[in-house]
Amino acid sequence: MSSNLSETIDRVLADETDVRRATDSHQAEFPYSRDQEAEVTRREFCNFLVLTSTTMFAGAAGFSAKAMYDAGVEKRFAPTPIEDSETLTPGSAMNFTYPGEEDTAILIRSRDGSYHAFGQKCTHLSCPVYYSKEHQRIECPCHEGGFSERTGEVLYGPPPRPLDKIEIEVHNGRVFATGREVRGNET
Amino acid sequence: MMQETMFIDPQRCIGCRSCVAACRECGTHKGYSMIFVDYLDRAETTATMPTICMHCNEPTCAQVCPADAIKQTEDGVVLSALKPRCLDCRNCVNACPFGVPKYNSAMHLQMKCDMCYDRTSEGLKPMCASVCPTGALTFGKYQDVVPLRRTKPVNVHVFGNQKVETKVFLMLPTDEEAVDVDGCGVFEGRLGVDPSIHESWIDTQVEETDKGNEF
Repeated sequence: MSSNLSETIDRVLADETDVRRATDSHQAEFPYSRDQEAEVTRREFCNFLVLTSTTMFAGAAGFSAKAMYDAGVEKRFAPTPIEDSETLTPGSAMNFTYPGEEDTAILIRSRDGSYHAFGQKCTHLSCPVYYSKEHQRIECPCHEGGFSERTGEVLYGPPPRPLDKIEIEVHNGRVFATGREVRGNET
Repeated sequence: MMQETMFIDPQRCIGCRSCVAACRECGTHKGYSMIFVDYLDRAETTATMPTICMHCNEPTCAQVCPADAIKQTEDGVVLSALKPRCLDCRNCVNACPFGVPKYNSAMHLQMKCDMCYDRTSEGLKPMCASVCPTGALTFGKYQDVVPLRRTKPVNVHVFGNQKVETKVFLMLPTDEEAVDVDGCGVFEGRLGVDPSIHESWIDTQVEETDKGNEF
């Protein structure tokens, strides 16, 4: 038995190198040793890079396509009367929303009786701005920003853009909002 | 062989099953014992032998795992199946030459001895070796253990057409270079089936072995 067995081992049986050779292709893909499994091959890393950047690019392309489409669609605003605007006295302001419930805005009647309306979100960090009767300008309480009461442009402080402009028409003392425009930094 | 490993000396085993009790103590495998103490031939002798994972250098169980769930650590310890990956397909249970992995159908998981990797990686002995009263299970470095024994350490096993080298040594009173693992009882007619009826013989064998492979 003893000599038989060793002969068999020497001549007939596959040894571990043969086993390794037979399973090499699978082992390369799915190694059972933990440290090999933890290794990342250059190919895997490149695959990861390519796939991730492709995904990111596709996502960004999707968003920009949507943005382009949205920009192409002309927004239609329904003329809406601003409630209680008849009661506004010169040199004061009131808040309203236009066009949606979420879109806050401020209507200002200057001392000379002219009306101006702007979005109420400060263009710096979206704090609600208010009308300062004393200085006759729009001010933001958060970071000392100031806007002109007539044009909504930045007078001082951190805001980068003028306030959104609300287009208005006045009929018999009632003020109607007819449009809203986001303004960039066109100066 | 600088690393510590296990030495199994069947001659020293007295069948006390301390190792089984100690193995159950461990929280890492839910109170199941990963070590088995078997009567070698109940009709003839009271001799027993503990079976732990032999931690093959080329683990057959890991090679046949379709889910890549059985991993070998840097120091050659073959771990139990990773729970998130194991399919309970029982390939490893059927492939292992030593019959070490068992499946747990309730948990859908293969479970096997991992030489108490949580302990040995911290420098502690495995549970079974720490309680064995006779040294049938000894954990230590090759150069420390072998000079103290008259038996010969063997870690080459012949299984079918495969030579399996293991991390764990059997201490045998022999001059053999290798252990013949074949001889599952079927060929000696112990199952009482007619091997000529090939298909049903396979079925019977699978049925019989399957019963013994579940927790």
